[in-house]
Amino acid sequence: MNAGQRTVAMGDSLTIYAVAELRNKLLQELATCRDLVLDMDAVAEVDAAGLQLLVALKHQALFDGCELSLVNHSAELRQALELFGLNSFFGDPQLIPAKE
Amino acid sequence: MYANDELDSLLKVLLQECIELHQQLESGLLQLEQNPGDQEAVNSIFRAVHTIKGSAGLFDFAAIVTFTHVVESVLADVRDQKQAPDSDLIGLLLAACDVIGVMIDRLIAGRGSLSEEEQRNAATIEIWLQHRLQDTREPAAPAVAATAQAEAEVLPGRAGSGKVWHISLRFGADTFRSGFDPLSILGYVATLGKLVNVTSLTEQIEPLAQLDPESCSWGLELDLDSDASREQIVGAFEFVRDDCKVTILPPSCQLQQYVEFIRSMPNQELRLGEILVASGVLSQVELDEALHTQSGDAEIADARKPLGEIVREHAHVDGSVIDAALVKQNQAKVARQRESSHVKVQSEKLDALIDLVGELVIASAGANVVATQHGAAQMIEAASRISELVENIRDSALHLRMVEIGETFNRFNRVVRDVSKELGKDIELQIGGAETELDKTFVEKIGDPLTHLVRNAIDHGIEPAEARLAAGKPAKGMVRLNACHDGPHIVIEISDDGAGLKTERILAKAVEKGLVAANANLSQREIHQLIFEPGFSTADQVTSLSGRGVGMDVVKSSIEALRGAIEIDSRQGEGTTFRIYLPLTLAIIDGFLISLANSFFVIPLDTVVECVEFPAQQFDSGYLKLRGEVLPLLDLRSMFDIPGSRARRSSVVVVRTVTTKVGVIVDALHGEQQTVIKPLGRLFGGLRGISGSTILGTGEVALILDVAALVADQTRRSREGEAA
Repeated sequence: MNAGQRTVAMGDSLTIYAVAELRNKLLQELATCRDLVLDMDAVAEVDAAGLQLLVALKHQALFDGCELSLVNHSAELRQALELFGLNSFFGDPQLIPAKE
Repeated sequence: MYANDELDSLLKVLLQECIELHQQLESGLLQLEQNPGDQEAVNSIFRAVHTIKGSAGLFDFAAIVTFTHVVESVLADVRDQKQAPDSDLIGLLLAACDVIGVMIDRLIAGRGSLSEEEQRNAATIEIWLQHRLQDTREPAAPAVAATAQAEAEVLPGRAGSGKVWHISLRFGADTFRSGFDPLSILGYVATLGKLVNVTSLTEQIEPLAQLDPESCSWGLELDLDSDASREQIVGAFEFVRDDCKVTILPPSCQLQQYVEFIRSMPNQELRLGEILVASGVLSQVELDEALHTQSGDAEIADARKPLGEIVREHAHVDGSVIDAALVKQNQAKVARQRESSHVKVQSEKLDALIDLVGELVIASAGANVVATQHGAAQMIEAASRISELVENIRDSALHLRMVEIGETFNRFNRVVRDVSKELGKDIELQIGGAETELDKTFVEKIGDPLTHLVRNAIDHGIEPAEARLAAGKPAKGMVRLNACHDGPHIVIEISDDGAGLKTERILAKAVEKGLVAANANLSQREIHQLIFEPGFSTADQVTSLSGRGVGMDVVKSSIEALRGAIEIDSRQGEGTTFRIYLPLTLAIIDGFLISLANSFFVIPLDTVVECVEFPAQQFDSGYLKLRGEVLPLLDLRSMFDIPGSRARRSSVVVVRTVTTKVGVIVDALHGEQQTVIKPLGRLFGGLRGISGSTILGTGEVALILDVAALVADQTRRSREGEAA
């Protein structure tokens, strides 16, 4: 873990109801940090608006030259990414629990 | 609501666009006639009509909308190959195209409605078009059978068991706000079968800072391996239909449909591979493999194979699908390049600029005069540097007004087609020098004279097929339009390979009309010039083309109004060539300044050959012997009633017109002068021999001589003198 890295834990909802608030929060995080890690463990609800937000965040990070990684994907998130064919887009390793 | 003037300017832009589309429509139709299988031409025609209809709809021009709607329906049939574009249909469509043109013209003129006759004409064409429509609507059964047969031609080499549907989704911005979640829709689709391949078009999503997180910008391309019926699959998108653009390509989809799908993709420059993946022709794996090969090759050899070729080799995708994708990619590129390399400017702005440059030329001439008067070497040098630059600016500013003549020429395809059909002659139009540039004003004003000459060439010039064959010529006649630069002139040639001018008949007619004396001894050239006399026509019978009151004299005078000239070169049995000489520009010329007593005159420099001293002994003979040649003299003093007697040491300026050389007697020569042509007021409109005025650096006014007119005037007068 290097010094510039910061880990942010995401809440349980990554949906249309949360995206406006999340956008502002993540923009702030991105502005102050060169290497952002999002802990996706708690994400229980995902919809297309939430995925769109993640894609936009990734675009912004690439644009600003920041590192962005998603870790601890929840099962719900993994399914959603899979369904939309987005696994390779984020390029993060996903841990799949043995029981699945 | 728009403010009124805003609406006006919008309307102007739209109408301008409509004119361009109308031209596109016409040229497309002509192209289709040449090559009835040209699907690209059909598409371009269809788009043009469709856009005209759309624009008209925006402004509630009901007449155009109704009319174009029928045309569009017929074209849709042609596009879907339910109707063959035979020559009848093309003729009908061309007529419809004319009606649309008239409607647009009326709108531009500010009068929305057509005259009664035009309305009747439009209605007739509409009825005919409706007939054509019904023809195809009734026997629908065979058409369906044909499609079914064609469907057997399944895309070769496609992955899967042949039941893979390709679905393309573009969600509207309001999808989320309307309470829909693409995720759950996708989840439902997944229950209908197996999602083989899903691609999210992530590049459409803005970076976070620009993103409106509650607006949806998802686009998805899916391949679904499913036994479900089309209705079931369509049903999955039932609720989002309004918000989402759904395209579904069935498993047994024909090649053509893939090609069309690629063409219908929004005009972004997508990478070829992505398009192919998106359209389901290739899987991502196949593409990755192909990409890998491409970079691998690059390490070995410098020459990189285009991706399209590699994909073709490896995945056995049919060539036409890739070609469509390549074309699409190129189109996007070309469209972008075109946007960046052209700027549309209103012509008034250009005119204002050229006016200013004109003032600049005058002002710099003034500065030169002052500098010379003061005799300060440095100042003279600075002034001459400035006038050099001003000259360059003048040239580039004038160049801005130049347009290629090709577009004007292309319009004649239609004229030749119509006129030759009307007369039952088979005639081909050849076009040369289409890239020759000339002043926009000329392009606008040269159209009518050119049309007249081309019609003449077809009507009088080219013989009927039997006569041609008898004379050992090919049955197909040829009319040629050509343009080129020739020194200070632009030359436009209209030539035919017809019978040539019949000198005896022209002479006989001229004598009969009293234009020349019966015993006059005229050269071939002079006889040819006779056809430009007012009221002269040799056509034995008056056809619908000749005898409409616009004679060759009008052609000649309208060309002379542009400071141009026209010449005829005709050989009996071989054909006739009309050559129109136009100056390069109308606004500013290089002039040669002369004076008599206190009056200054400018002679266009490009007509000046040389200056010689006026020999005192050769006084009133009216001509000068110059190196063994006879040079007729023009005495401006008597012509313009200039007071005072001839200066002790007069000079003669030898000027060349298109046809002859004359000497102009002047008191003093002042040298070259950049001349901004200012038109004379209407009061002097009838003045012959003067084409305009200009302001000199000293502030004095000089008149610009129209030498050709002066010579013509003088010739006429001396003829009258002889006759009397």
